[in-house]
Amino acid sequence: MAVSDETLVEKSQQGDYLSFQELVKRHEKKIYNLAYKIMGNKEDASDVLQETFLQAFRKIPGFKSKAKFSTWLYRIAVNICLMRKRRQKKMKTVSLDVPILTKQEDEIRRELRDDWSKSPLASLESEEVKRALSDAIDSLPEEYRTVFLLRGVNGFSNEEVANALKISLPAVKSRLHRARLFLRDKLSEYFKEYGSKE
Amino acid sequence: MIDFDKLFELLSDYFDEELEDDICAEIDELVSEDFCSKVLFNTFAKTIELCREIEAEEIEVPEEVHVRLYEFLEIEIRKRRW
Repeated sequence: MAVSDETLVEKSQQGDYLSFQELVKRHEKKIYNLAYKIMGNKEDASDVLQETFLQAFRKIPGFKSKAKFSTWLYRIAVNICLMRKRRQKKMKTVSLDVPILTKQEDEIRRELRDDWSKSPLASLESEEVKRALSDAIDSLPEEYRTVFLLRGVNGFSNEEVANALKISLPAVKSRLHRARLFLRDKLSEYFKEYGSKE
Repeated sequence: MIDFDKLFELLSDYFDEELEDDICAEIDELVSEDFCSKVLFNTFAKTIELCREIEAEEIEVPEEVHVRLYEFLEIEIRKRRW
C-alpha cells in the first residue's frame, strides 16, 4: 500500500529527505502543468516548479498537518506564478474582484439564435476550436483563470480552491461562474464568426 | 419560479450538482419550454465539456527540467545537513 502524503510530510519534517523527494515525485507533474497553464510557457513553468519545491522544502518544518499537503503546495505554486506574472506586467495590478464584463440579458437573448453546441465542429478535435478556447482561457483575468485552472487542472473542489487561494467560497463560485460565462461568450463569438464565413 | 435571469445565475451550480432537486427540475422545465434558455443551457454545457477536455490534457515534465529540479534540491538538502 502506498504511503500517504501525511506520513511522507511527517518523515520529511523529521529530516527524512527521501520522503521529501517522494513528495516531489508525486506532485511535480501537476505543479508543472498548473504553472504551464498559468504562465503560458515552459521556461516559466520550469522555474515555478523549482521555486515551488524549494519554498516547500524550506517551509515544510513549519507545515501544520491539519492542512492538506497538496492544497498547501498548490498555494505556494499559485503565489509564485502570480508574483511572476505581476513582475512581468511591471507591477500593473488588477483589483482582485474586477468584474468580467459579460453581456446583458437582452443582448444575450438577441444572440441566442444559434445553438452551436450541436455543431459537429464543437469539438477539440478541431484545432481551431481548441485554439479559440485556449486563447479565451489565456485572456481571462488572472484571478478568474487561477480559480478556473485549480478547479479544472488540479481537480480541486470549490472548498479546496478557497483554501488554496485564501478567498471565500462565494468568491470562488462567483469567479468560476463568470469565467465559464466569459468562455461561453468567446466560443459563441467564434462560432458566429465561423458561420458568417460559410 | 426560475426565469432566464435566474437560470443565468444558477448554471454553474446546476452543472456542479450543487442545486436542490426541485430547482433542477424547474430549470429543466424552463429549458424545455423557452428557446433562448435552451440555447444558453446547451452552449454553457458544451463550454464546460470542452473546458474539461482541455483541462484534462497533461504535458510531461521534460527530462532536463526533472533532472535540474532534483539536482537543485540535492544541493539544498546538503546545505541543510551541514
